[in-house]
Amino acid sequence: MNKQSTLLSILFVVVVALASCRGGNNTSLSLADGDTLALKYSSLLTIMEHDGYVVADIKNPWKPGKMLHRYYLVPRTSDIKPQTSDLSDGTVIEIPIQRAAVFTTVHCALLTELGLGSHIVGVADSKYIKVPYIQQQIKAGRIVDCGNGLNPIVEKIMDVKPDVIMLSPFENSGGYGKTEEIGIPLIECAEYMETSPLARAEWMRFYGMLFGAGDKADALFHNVDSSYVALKQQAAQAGKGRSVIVDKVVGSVWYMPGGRSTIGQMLQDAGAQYPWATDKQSGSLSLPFETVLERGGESDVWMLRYSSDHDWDYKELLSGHHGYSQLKAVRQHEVYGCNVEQSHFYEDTPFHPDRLLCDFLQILHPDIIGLPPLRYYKKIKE
Amino acid sequence: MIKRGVILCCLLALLMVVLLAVNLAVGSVSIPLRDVVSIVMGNEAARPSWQFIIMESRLPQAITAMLCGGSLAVSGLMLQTAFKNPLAGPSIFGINSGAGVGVALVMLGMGGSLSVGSVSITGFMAVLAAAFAGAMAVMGLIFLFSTMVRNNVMLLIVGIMIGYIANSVVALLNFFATDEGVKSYMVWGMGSFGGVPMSQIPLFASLCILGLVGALLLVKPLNALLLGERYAENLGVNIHRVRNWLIIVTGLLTAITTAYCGPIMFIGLAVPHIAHLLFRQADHRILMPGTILCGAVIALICNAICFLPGESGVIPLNAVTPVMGAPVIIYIIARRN
Repeated sequence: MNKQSTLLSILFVVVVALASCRGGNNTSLSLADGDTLALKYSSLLTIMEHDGYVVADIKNPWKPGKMLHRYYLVPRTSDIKPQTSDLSDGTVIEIPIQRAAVFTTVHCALLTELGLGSHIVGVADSKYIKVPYIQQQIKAGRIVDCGNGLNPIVEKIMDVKPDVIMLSPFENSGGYGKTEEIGIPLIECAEYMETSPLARAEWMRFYGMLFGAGDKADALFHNVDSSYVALKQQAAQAGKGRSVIVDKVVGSVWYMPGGRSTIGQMLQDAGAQYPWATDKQSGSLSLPFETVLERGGESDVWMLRYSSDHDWDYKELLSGHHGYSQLKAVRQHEVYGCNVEQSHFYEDTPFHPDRLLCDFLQILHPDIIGLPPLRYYKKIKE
Repeated sequence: MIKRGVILCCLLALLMVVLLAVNLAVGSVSIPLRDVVSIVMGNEAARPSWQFIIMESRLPQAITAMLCGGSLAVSGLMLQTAFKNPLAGPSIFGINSGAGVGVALVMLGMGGSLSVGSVSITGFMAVLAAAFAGAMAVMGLIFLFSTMVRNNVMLLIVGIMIGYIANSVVALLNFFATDEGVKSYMVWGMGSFGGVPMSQIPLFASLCILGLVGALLLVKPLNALLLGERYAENLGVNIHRVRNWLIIVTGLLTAITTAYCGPIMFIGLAVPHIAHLLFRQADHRILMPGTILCGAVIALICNAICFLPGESGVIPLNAVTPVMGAPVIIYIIARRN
């Protein structure tokens, strides 16, 4: 007993000594003073509000326990400027951001939806951005295409002088090359690594905050959240949905979303009977056709995503693989296709998972009535 | 020597039959052996999906592997003999790359469908047609150069250069393509024996057999070439005609296999060396059928290895073939030193 208390007191002294050594105004200590902004779902993002600034920490999704990036959001107009030496362990961003280069389509779509489109000054891969506003602005010369997102034209970025560059981080991509060296802060949009659909959508609150539209983004997220939860409850009340298989063969492999992937979780929320529901992977499984036929061949419905300049019919679908005709869903003509080129699937669904869940519910529970018409998926034509 | 070769060939043929059976019995879905035998014998399967898996998936895949392995190996052998270059292989003339350009144009440039006039094809057939057209175009080009360039080494260099040009076209298409297009193209580039449906097997098999017969008809001039070009000419062999035929036969075989299975690495380069080690003779009367059998056997082994992970997935073919091929090449280099 005695020994224990002695040890504890030594430990206490050491901790106090260490803490005082680093000085009273160090960030790690002052961080503890801030108010954590309650994020409901996100596992990668934490936001803490302090006097005069906000700290946003993004955890490294690939290396547990490590941090990907820390941001200090400092208001432009604030009188209480934190000392820059305190903020050396992160990237300082003056908010609200006035000019941003946005390299991902989803974020272009989100910012436009939040009415922040006028802050976008540069984009990448403009060919693939299906946001009418952005396309108009590019034509009018108000938004500049900075080339390929993975290898942008640095000169063009510097020319449009953005406050920040928003881009998707990739695992082991070897950094961002020259983009990193030009001194413009990079916002690493890592929300795509969140597997829970609502966690992914919740990041819009962070993006809203960056552009001074925190309240608007909070309201939008609240809508998405409540609508998603309501649909989930509706699915639960409707009982077991139809059984389903997802996506299709690419080359020789069927990429099937894992049980813990975003699609896997949404299928579960929609009450689907998914043959890979118990699977523990958060990515996609690469399966040979025969495995899919054996485990999922008798599923009632087949929901696939494809990319084409026109909608497929059965003839076109069946030309992709000789085995498709063996699937029950094909025999019974219960195949739903989402043409990602013609619909706004990739632009919408990361921040509006409720819309996708609504499609799932309608396909998997034909008995639920009163849902809006299908938004992304369409029944494959005869 | 001949007798030993014949015995070895018989053993290889036997091994091929055994491996064919293994390829039918082993896959991602475990089907009891009794059911496999019963399905192959033409009886009703216990489950309809098993019937499809064995007869429409595994059987065409195993047949494709055999024919493809044999075709690529024999192409490699002929090119190595004719060009006296142990590193020659079916991909050296850029025929693979030509097929790659065709496929890239369809997958990355045209959204997966191919339209010529009023005829429009999609899916597997579009890829097949594009790959074949691309491969034949490069072969035609090489053939043209073959009539102009007399020197063998120079012809090889021309082939390699055409390959580089083709690759740069592919790189450009890839750079501007959608994620999905890039992924489809990447997966195609990893090769697979599983893409040929049973309905296509008769066409695929007849084209391959046509090429293989063509190869066997070249045995005599190839044997003569072993003595050196001068000697061969003295024996009445028309060197340039042989070279042209050789390009046609290997081009055809490479074009067919690449169109149906994607670019398959290393089999064409490594199997002739394995056959040389096994048969220990240069007489093409034995070596050529031996190489065809070796190619078929090794392709079947590679195909079976692809299914090793069982239910959880497949390994891409081109990740397996170099593991079989590269150690052989290294062994040969080490032994030469």
